[in-house]
Amino acid sequence: MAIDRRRLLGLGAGALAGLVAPARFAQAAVKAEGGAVFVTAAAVGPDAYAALLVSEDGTILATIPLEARAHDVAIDPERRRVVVFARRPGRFAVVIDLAAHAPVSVIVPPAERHFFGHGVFSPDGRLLYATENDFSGGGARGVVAVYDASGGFARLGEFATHGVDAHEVILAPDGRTLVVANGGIVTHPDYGREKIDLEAMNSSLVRIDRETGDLVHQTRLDRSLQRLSIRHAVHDAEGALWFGCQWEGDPYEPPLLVGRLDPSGAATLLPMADEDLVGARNYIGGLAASRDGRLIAASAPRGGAILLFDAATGTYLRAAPLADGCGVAGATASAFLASSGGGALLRIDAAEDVDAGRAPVKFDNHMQRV
Amino acid sequence: MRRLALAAVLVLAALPARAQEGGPPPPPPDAAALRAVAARAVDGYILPGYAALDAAAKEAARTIGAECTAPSADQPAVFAATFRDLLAAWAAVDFLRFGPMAENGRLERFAFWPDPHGTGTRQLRRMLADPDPALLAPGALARQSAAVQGLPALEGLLFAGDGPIGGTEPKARFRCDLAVAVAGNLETIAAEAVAGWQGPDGFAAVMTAPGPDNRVYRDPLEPVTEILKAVLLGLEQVRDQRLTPALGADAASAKPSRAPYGRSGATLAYLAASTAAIDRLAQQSGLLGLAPPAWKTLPNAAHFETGNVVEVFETAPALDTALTEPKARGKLEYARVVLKGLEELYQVQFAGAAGLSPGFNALDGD
Repeated sequence: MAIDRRRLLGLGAGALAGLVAPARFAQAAVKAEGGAVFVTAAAVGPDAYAALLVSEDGTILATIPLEARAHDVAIDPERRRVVVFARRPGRFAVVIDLAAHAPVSVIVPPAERHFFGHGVFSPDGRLLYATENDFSGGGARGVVAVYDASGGFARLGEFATHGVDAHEVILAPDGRTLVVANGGIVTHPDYGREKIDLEAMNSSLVRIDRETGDLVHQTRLDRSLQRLSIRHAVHDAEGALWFGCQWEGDPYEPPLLVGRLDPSGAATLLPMADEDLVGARNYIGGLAASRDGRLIAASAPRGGAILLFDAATGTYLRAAPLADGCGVAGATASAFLASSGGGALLRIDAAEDVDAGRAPVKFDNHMQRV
Repeated sequence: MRRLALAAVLVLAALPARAQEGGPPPPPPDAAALRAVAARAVDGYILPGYAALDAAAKEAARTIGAECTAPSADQPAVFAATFRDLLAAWAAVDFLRFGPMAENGRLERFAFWPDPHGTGTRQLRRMLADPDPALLAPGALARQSAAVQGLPALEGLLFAGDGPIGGTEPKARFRCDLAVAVAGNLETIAAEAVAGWQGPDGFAAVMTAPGPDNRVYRDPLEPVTEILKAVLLGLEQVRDQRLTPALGADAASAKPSRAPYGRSGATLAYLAASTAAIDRLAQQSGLLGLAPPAWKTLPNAAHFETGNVVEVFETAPALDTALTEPKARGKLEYARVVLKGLEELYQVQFAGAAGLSPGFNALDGD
């Protein structure tokens, strides 16, 4: 880890490409020594978007301009490259060399596909998986596209996610299974981000064998939760799969929003304090596990809070207030760093929140620790 | 064209410079000012808006019902006027996605759109091919798919373009009676919305009495943020989901069929009504007055720019021509630029100056 970080920061200072003022960067690099580095999409001005490398005190280490708003970031296993995905219905993913702080490639999906904003590398870093919308023929089929990360990011193929609105894709601890949250809401780029026909919503959580593309298992929620869209997922220390949802049904009758799969693959939605559930405003924006996997954080940007759960017991712990807080990443064994649209960073553990700085940007939905 | 777009940018640029990026956000306006904005929005705009929608739906059901019994010589004109009035009333409230309309699927039942697969058309065709009088009973349509319950279905029934409907010929009569049933369903939904806003537990009370015990609005900032979000959503809806899909990248790729309410020829009137409605909500509620005194030109700037967009929609030729004839198309493209500028006026300049935060992640999540 230390070597990685030195390489990341040391080489970076020599290859700034005019993106960050050198003096500021050098100072930042010193500050960040011994601390974690995070990568996130952000708005850096009116209609100006970028991928940012951020230290845990909010210092911006590098700014890589992007043509439009982005969403989540995939980090390669060697922590040398990250891929920032366009927000749906965008059609770019930028591969960034962490040492050079510079973009090295741009991935554009084929015609009639757009990104959904999420992706993940294979454990050996040779393949990149990305969720995409196949809207050919006016349809809306979720696919996981496979890109060759060992070379020029050529598109090698795709497999079905057996659902629509394939949102987050993550890798299971076995290294072989991909987990995809099919949000279940049909959209078509012709109509921007408009949701089409919520009566037909059909969300699922699927496990896919990444070597064969076969569907291994799929989980659906109870019919009474047909308007509940499963969009984000994370594994805990025991390898149990957690998921976070947004509710498209009656806004004033909120269902539970965070759940966990039991070993058989059946979903249980986890109870939480009623006041905090109502306060979450029917919407979870992202999930993260602490580095030891024993705490789960679910961000609720509409409610302005980060919700914490004990992973082993599934018990709801508390809500950490953070207005427009959405990005959340495991920072240490037992703490998270969360980011907000107001540029605030908050360090959160089971017991307390500590202000972790502020940057003059709007942090976007997701943040990952490098 | 470019000059017009530039003019729009210049008006916006004449506003005070934005508060220093990254500094602590200005404190939110005081609670009394916030409460006043919410109260004016509710009493001065929202309640009258739903009452007008209810009245327009009743009127539509009555007018169409009269045509079913005795089709008039100028039936197409009667339907066009009726539908346009109903659509204008809908445009005034269709960007308010909170309150009773957000419950029981009322929004999508009132106006199921977009419908890229023609679900509504297909289901209507089936209903018309095999007329079932049971569908005409009060409340029967409410149990059908949303695609056949609302305005697009009504439009499909009234503007088929193959002669008058109603009278004694059974198929024409059933089509007309089904249109009355759809209008009746709209009337029911609108009446439910009106009822849901009223009374001691109604949504007007919820919205104007924020506090720790209020399950929807915890503090005086939240109802105002809801109103600001509605303005932003309305602007984005007109630009990104109604206008842009039809405009396409250029005249050759323009697709009038992607615009809503093209069969009745009411698309541009609907866009004009929608844009004017957003401005009316902002002006009636005094929303923009929440910015500090240095920003006192904000309401006029917003009103002026909105007026420009409304004028483009109101003076445009028929939709097909407006999308393809270079000069007319240029004006629609200009409207799109100004709409984007207005979004920025509300979301960046105004929200920043007033200490409101509609949210970056919260506003339009994923």
